[in-house]
Amino acid sequence: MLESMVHGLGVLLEPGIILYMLMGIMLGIVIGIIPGLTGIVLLSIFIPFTWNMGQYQALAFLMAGYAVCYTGGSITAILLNIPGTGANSATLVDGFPMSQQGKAGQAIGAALTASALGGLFGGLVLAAFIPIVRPIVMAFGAPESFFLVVMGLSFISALSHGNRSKAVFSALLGLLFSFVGYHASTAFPRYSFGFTYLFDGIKISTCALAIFAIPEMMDLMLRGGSISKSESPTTAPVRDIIQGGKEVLRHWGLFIRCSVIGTIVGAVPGVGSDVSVWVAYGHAKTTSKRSETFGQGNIEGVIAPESANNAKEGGGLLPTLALGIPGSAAMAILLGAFLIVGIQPGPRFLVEHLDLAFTIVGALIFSNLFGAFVCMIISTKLIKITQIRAQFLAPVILCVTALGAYCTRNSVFDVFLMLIMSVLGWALRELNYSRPSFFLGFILGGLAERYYSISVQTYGWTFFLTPVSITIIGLTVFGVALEPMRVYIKKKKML
Amino acid sequence: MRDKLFMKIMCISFLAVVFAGSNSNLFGAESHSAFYKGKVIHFVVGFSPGGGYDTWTRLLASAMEKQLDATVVVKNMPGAGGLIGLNYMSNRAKRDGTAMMISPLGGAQLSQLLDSPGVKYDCRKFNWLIRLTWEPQVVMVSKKSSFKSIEDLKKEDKLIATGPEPTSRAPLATVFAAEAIGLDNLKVVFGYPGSAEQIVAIMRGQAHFYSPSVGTSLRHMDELRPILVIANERVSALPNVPAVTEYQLRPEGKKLFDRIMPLWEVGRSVITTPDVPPDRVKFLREILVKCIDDKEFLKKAQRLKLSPKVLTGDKVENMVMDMMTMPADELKKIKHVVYEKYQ
Repeated sequence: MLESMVHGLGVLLEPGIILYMLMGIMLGIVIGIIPGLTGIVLLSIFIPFTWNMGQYQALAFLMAGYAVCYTGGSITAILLNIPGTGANSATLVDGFPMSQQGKAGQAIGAALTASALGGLFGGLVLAAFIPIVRPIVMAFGAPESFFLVVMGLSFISALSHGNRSKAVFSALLGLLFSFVGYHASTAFPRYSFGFTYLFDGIKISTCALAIFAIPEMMDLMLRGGSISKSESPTTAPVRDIIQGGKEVLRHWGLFIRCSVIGTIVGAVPGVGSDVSVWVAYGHAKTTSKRSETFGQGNIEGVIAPESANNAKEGGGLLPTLALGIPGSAAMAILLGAFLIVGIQPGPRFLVEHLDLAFTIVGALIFSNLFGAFVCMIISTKLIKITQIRAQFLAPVILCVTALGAYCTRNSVFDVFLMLIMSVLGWALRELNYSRPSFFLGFILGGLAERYYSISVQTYGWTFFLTPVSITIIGLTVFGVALEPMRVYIKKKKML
Repeated sequence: MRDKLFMKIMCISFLAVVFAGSNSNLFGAESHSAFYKGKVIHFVVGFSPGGGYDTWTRLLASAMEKQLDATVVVKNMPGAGGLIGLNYMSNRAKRDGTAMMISPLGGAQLSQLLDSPGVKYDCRKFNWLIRLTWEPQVVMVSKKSSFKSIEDLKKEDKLIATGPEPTSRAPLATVFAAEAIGLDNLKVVFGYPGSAEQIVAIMRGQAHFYSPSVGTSLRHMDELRPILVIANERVSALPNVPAVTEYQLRPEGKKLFDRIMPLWEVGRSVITTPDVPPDRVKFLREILVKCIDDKEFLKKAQRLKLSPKVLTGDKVENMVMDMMTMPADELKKIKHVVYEKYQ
């Protein structure tokens, strides 16, 4: 064991491997920053380059790029209200208001530190739990996954900013949009209006760009000025970034809890990052002493999803390496890449290639730490985007969003779809309907429908009668009831 | 004298015609080589980058560039299980042999047969150039279960299998094997997005079995046990696992099984657009065989864990034509099995 660890980690110190990792990290950050390009796209682009690499080089290159691409996505979420992927969608709820208040540096510092440490946490958990992952994975079948998704959906109230009925309406609208395309069980297309492009539904990145990015840029163009509404421009971004990093250490309890959430949810095949970040965000709001400031630039709302976001990669790798069962779509592609370089993940993998497992863990941890460091350096310059005047910034961002939408499926159709949906995004913004609630409904609606359908087909209407399901239901009810209970107790004390 | 001269001219003309005729292939091949030289060929992939179709296409593209001295551009057009790519090939791609695509495994034919929404092509009009590979599905049960054979599955009161949706490969193979063997206790639960969720479902006892391809099944032998190959004969990778035809089959079920099996045997086949001149189609078929016989291609394919199982284009075309001319009563039975009986 010790010998494998020394060999597996020692390989990462070879100059050739370091070079591949640095290449992976740089490209991963660039892809992460471009809206619409996800970890799946990154792996698809990277894999052909690994065809002629050795095992260690290929692993280091792929892991490095994949580990950091979600880190890059948080920067655009905070600065421009553009979540690169669904995994960054919870970060913008508090991250972007912080940018508007001139605290972009702090938000980025907190996000990147939480990402780096979350990645480190996920990596360490991966190393420690690989041999005992089976019970975690086996505990989550369709019913349990359904209730996990419902738990994510229950945090709509956390996004209401005082107007619950509007938040619920937005979420229902999001659910409706998630039903566009093939029905999960029957493969019959719904709400497609005869367009074959809509058979696969609306892509998450297209929706994110339409709902968040374009309305924000339209608003910026109409009101003029810059994203940062603060009178005093950010003069010392480095100090702000360090301050943000310190906030993560100050909220270490929240960081640990959200990293645990990210790791566990990441390890459940099929549920993945989109759920984990919202569960972490909802948990942060539920347990915070300043829950009323969530959505208005509370730094805890940035730390929570970013910790979960990067910790989930370690979690996702757990079933992939230990059981040969990919934890997400990206992990399925990664599994294919492992097979190409001659690695067969599964129970025997740990017996035959324990050193490679440590190489993967080491590459994951190093890339998360180094990637966050590089992002911090880039951010000191990128923060100034928030002070660029609208007439210069908005056209560039609109072009980038169009490119992002196009890259989703190499189709102009997605660009038009994004433009049409941005009218909805604009309307939601102007009428003060919660856009994060809409997005939450949209990204979780498909998963909820799928797991509900499988559960009912398999177990009938008593599908919720499993210990794990009942526990999750209990936690969900507790989470939803906690705030009204707090208000009630507060009122009673005042009387 | 004049007659002799006339005869000589006639003889020379005759010999010239015979020579030209006997070498028409050569001249034809030369003219087609000239047609493709320097041209841009669009190779459509009906799925996202990174998957099996994409890998096969990119591998084939580099071999074709070498053989044709042309530029092959890979164009990913993902969506609707390859339907967007097929519709593009039928209606918008150039009909001169410069657009190609690997047809989705059985999906192209099946979607058309079952009148699936969005089908705007006719499989019979595509030109089928070559089959690259194919593999059957395998019934996999948990190693922890007591199931060792199909007989054990028959004893279960309510047998549950998993699958993505009714018209995808694995559940299709499952229901037609069940129809032939007589697994009337089977219910297929649909909606599983991929292999991972199905494997977890089987390992935790949520379902009894699923039917991945042979390649996928080999990766999960530590946890799962193969008990049936859904094909007419055993496969070399799983020599101890019986094929469907080794069981006593119900005549009606066997008839439907035989009707539907070519869907798998057509496998991953390369198509080009309708209306390409027949001699150019013939030329492309020859070129593709050469591509796959190329040592460099085979070396790369081995590294990528891709194993070609070639079938010539004319044979693939015959299989497709045969399948697409299905009598109405058989089609009705097939729809009943796919959409109703096992749900």
